[in-house]
Amino acid sequence: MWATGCGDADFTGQTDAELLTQATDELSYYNFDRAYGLFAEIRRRAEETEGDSADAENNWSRATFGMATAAQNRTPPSPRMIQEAADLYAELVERSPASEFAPRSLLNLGRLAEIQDHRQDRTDLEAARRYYSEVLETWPEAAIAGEAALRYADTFVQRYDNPASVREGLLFIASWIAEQPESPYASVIWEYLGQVHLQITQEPGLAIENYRQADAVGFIEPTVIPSLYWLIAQVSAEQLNDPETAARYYQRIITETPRSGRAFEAQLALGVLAEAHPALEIEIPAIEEFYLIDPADSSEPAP
Amino acid sequence: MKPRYFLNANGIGLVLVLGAYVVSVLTVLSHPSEPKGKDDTDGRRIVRMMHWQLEPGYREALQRVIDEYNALPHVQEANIEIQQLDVTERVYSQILNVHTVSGTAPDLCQQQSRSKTVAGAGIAQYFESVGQAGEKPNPYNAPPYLSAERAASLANRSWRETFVDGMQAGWNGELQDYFSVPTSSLGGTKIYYNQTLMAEAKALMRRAWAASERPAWFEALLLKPATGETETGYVPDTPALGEWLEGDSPPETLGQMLMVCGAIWEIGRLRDDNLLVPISGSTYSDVVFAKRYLVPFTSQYSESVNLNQDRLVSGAETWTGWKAGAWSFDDPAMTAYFDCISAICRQFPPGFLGLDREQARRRFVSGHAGMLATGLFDAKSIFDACEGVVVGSEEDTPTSAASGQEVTVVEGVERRGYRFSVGVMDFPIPGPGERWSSYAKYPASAANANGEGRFMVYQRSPNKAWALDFLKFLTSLRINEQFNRETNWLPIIAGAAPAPQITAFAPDPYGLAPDLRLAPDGGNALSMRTLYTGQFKNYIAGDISFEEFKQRIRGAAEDPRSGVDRVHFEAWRTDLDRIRNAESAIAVQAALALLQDEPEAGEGLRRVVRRSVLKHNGILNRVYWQQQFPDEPFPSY
Repeated sequence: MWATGCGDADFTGQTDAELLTQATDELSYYNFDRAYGLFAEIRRRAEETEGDSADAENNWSRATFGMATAAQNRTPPSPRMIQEAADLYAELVERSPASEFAPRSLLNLGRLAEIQDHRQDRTDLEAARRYYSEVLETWPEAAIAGEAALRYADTFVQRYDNPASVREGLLFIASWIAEQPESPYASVIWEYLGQVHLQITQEPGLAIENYRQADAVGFIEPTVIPSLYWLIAQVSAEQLNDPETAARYYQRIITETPRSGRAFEAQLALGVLAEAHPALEIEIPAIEEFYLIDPADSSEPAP
Repeated sequence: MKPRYFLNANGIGLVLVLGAYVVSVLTVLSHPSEPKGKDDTDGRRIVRMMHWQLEPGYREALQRVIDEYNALPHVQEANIEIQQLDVTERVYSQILNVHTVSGTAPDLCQQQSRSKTVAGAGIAQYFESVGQAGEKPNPYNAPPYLSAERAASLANRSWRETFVDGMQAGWNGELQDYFSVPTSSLGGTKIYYNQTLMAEAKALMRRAWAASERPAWFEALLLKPATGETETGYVPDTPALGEWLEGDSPPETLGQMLMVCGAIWEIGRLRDDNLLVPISGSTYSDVVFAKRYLVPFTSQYSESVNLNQDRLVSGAETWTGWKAGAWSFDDPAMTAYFDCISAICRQFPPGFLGLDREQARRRFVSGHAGMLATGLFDAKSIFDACEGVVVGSEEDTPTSAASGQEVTVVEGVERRGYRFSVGVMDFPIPGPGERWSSYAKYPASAANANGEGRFMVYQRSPNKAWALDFLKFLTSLRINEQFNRETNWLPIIAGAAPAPQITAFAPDPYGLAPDLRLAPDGGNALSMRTLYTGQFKNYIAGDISFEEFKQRIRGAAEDPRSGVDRVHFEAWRTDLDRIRNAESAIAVQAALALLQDEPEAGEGLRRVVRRSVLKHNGILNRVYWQQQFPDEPFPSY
């Protein structure tokens, strides 16, 4: 019953609101099969409601979007389910273009076109680009526009064996963020630019410039901050002849991420820089120890 | 004719088996299949906590915490009772898998990475996120549960921020959320040593050092310039060596440790003790030494092989780097590494690959080995077995293992069941001028050691709130300190003091990043990992020479079907799978925001979008290939 996600379960006695809560919970648990069945039931009820009802319409939008999301992610992915997800998203956009679910539905249609969901599936960058472009054009000020801009640019960057295409993608995203510096995706976009310039086009100067922009607005993924600090310091010292930037980031590895495992190497690197550039008077911070409490202290009794 | 007795040995066995079967069936049938969480006697709600930590002292320490929690007024009022379920590690993951899927798992389950149900995004299907709870303060870090003075140090800190590792051990990168709560820290693996044997070995070496004609075994330990292809001995004959031999300190360098090993072999010969070995090695400890020394010998390669420039060098990156010529088994550093590991493994018992961790521990505590490499989780059992118990202490009970044993006065303290004192030291690196010192200058750091004893809240538990509440209690400053001092583990809460005897295990931040080294046996090296691991064992066991080892590895690595090309190809395929997994996380986070009328583009969503977009739909592996091998097309299978 649940395994198929089909609607032969007995939902008698459960209100739409209860089913919606249950379906949303299942989605949060990544139980896509269960979520699919529940959203399908809510959608069926909404479609059977006679007359115009704002509640029914709202439920239909929610259920259709939830059902599409579940279908898109059910495992193992199948051509039938992926097609159903695409159809549901498209139906939602067509019937409720002003709904709050429309931009994400369009973006997800782009993802379905771009990602290889199953063995027979093929990446269609042109189709994906059209969907991302539509999100950008229709909702340029919305938070989702930042994500759409990144995805749009990446459809060009993915053509890595065509330098002109990569350049087009980079130019697009750089000009977009220049116009939308307050986007919630600003940090991700700057980091994206830094990574593409460093690893794909191999332009270390531009890479570090963009990484530092991302740092200025705050890297959003704490677990990679030590690696990014190290990268900035290393490239600055060894490829850009910028010992001041290098020293600053090595110092931050020690003071801000002492448990990253790189603090000691940062100390060594600072020692090398200090010797090569005595005029800079580079300081080498100490590494914070783990247990600062005197272990001889007896354990505190219960108050 | 002899009468035939039914109750012969076979008959008794059959009766016992049948009896056990009947008892098992009746036990199963007598258990009601109603939802767990309700006691069938007095209506109490039972919150069960399942773990596999059967080390001596752990269950007792946990029980004391449980008893204290169960006695709290608000817990009593709610008729809640925490109970622990201990399960052997051998079957833990099967039990966890079966019960999570069938909906009957305990309310709290220890996380084990081998379990399929907690792998990757699967964990969200069965266990609750603790991310949101982690952002709020832990109520047990405030009065009346903690003195006002200590509570002040934790004021305004979220529960997550009170952890030494920031709760990183519970972080799931794929889902960008926290799913488990660590309760201890294990710090780094260390070398335990027998202080009596160590002193005896040093005394023997002192006499040999001072002798007018030094014995051959001692001469063999002194570093000699290379006459053939390799050097012999470990430590140069300098005044510094004499100074160390004169003192009481344990080995401070790798050369000194190997000299002690040589002296212990000599002690065994003098005592005619065939069981005595320098290092109680096993199939577990060869890996410990191999991984530990891989860092100082190969971290120099990390910048050139870490293609995606993240925080670890993977198996696939290692082998792609090999193909690209970034490193070779013929490099002096690699030759030195293999020579070093071979020298260490020669100090293990013969046939060590057939010995397991427990056998190695027993050999050490019985006094038949000078050293043992293992983690903090073995500390209590080793200290108790070797040093006995202090007479009159809480542990000196009629039921303790030392009960009835002889009393020895050690440094003015009466100890029952004392065998020898145990010291703990780090894995030493070669000292100046010693063998391999040109290649291994700094040790591996343990700074990024994460928490252990991680517990998850079962999603279908009817007692989720209480299960989470107990975890907060267990990881409050005072309780976590008390619990870990009793288990002899390191506390996970910042500001908690570890037991004095285990401070040596505190993660040492001084050293090289432990994951930035070559990883020929890294997880995604696939067939190369299997081959390397097998041939490495053959090499360290002395079954094949280094030349044979290199030849076999090279042959396999160059195989177009299963070698390095295949490893790189499969890394690309794995990346595609990860991209799709990230897509699920994006879809769920975005859908939840919309369905729950919350603002879109929250931090969690932006993080998974970041992960996804920086993978560029899997092209990076192709880009790296093109950059490394511009004339070779990307492999396809």
